[in-house]
Amino acid sequence: MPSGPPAPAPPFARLLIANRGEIAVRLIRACRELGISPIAVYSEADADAPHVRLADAAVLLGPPPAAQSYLDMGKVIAAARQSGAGAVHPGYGFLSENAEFARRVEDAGLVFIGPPADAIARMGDKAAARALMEQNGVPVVPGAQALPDDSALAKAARAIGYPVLVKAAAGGGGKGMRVVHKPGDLAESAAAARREALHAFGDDRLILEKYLAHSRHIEFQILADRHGNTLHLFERECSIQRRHQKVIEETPSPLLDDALRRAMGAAAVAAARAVDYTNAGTVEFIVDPDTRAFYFLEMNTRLQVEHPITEAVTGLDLARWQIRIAAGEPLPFTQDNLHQRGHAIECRLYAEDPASGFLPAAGRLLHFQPPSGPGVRVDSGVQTGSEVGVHYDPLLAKLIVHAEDRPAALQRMQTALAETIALGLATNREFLQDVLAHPVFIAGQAATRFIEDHLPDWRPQEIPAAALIAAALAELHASVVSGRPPADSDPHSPWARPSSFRLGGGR
Amino acid sequence: MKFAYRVDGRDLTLTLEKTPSGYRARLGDAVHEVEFIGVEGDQIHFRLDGESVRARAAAGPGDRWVALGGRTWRIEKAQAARRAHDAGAGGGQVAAPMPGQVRAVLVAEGDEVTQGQPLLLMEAMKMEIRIAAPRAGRIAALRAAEGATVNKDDILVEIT
Repeated sequence: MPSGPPAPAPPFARLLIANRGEIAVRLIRACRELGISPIAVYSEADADAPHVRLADAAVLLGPPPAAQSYLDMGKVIAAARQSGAGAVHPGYGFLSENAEFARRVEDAGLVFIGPPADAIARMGDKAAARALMEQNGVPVVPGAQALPDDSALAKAARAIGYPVLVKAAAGGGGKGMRVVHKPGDLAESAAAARREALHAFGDDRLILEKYLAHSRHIEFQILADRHGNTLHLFERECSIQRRHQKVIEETPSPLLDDALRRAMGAAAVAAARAVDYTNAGTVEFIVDPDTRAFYFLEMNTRLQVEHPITEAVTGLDLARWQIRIAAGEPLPFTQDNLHQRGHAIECRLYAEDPASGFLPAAGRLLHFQPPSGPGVRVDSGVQTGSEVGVHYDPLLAKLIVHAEDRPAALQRMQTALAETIALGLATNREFLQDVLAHPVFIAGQAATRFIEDHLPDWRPQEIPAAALIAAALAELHASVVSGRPPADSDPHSPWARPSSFRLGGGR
Repeated sequence: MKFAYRVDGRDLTLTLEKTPSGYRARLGDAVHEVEFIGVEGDQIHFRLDGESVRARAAAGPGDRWVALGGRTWRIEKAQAARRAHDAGAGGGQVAAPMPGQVRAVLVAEGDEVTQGQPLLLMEAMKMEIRIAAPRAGRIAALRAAEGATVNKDDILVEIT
């Protein structure tokens, strides 16, 4: 059998993935491709989860609450040592942006697949990061930090001008974040933000920012090796958000032209260099579509949920590069070698009810059938029969499409969403379909307030007769198979007795 | 046969009468001819007024989920829906709007509360939700403690 050049030796024999769900599955695949043996961790709630079964070995961390399992640094590091792993990948969420965890992993003689602990700490403190960016010539949103009490907060808010955004200084991921439209609401919103921040980060310091209502959220992917090469892999536009969390992302951004893209890319690289960043990271900006001014928001010092769309248009595998960079490999390409090819969109399929404030749903996934086809990628951590619980993020799957241009990508995503079947839980599938079909989104003009402005009272479509009839026929069929009459049918009807009729007229 | 369903808060009654070739379905004023073809796994195949329809259906505890033409509906059996509704909205009972954790209990048993007064704070992943009193009254029972994990529709507080 003909063979190519010998495969390079894997950088680590075993790698522990300190995460769950779709990202754990995605990282298991990256390990396999590199010849690394993947080790999973899990909580009691995830004993039957796909990531546990796909890994070579899996270590039980503890009970379902994240604090006693996926967030317990001691248990995760012990699992890595016990399983003989040479490296730990934190995924996103959980311990991924925890500088102490990164430090403790390195102190245990293991390689942390991510940036240096110091870079995480410096970007993790939103107040310090704002100041550092200003020093490095990266524009920041007008705002204020170091606000010791409510009166300092009120004074700063008055100076900035309402509406303002109250944010946790240690924050990220929308936690501890509140928009405040008038002075009278400031104290209560700040109290709620402090509680959320204290609970999520153990730190209740707040910062204030001017709230730009019609801004666009555009972020740049960074890849930096340990040899001084810091590159950007272009942008992702993530303006479609509910509760400050992204639901649809795309690249290229319909807003950017080449000049603005170059300017923002250079600012993103400068931001990363300011903290001696290595590995994959994301610099988030907000952009005012009228003035085309852009402002640094924060840097996420980890792999993003939406990284697959960048992989689609650049052709680079970010998870593999994270591991190779951590093993000391230099990037073999330069900024000039990188190009965006075609258009990619990601939709996050959540177990949540868009008709009642996007409240998370829990329960059993009775049937799950993801879409497939040319240019369609599905990253999912669930399957038919999975229990979706209350302890973790209700993300079921990410649908990613890649096509030659934006209209083709939109059509491809609509087809993929229509093909997706998830029964047993409320999901946001129909909501995603309606966002993609909205004229403002199609025109590429959706800002971060899109959902509040354009789909505030979203309702599902009215049920057609065919769907009700399907339910009734399914119920009848089940009753024939089980020999029991359908529960809600008329008990006096002769048709309700299984012996008295044959479904389908003897077919 | 009568099928009493509730979809998205609306009561719908569907009747199926046996005909030589299948069923006659009545929904409100509309009448449809249905010819059942078969069930294969979760796929149900029938003809509706001569047009072929293939739907996906799955049964949950008190409901049935149907996917058809790129959309999905949750179809509750009316009896089950009424029970859940009676349990939750019986005037003074305050139910959890979502599964999650009770973050803070802001009232005590015996307290007098006004309509809209915050009773509890709940959190599910990244969201904090304020549970407010649906009406004025006295807290007769507190069924949830700080830190407790609750399911959607669990009764948290009773107001008399």
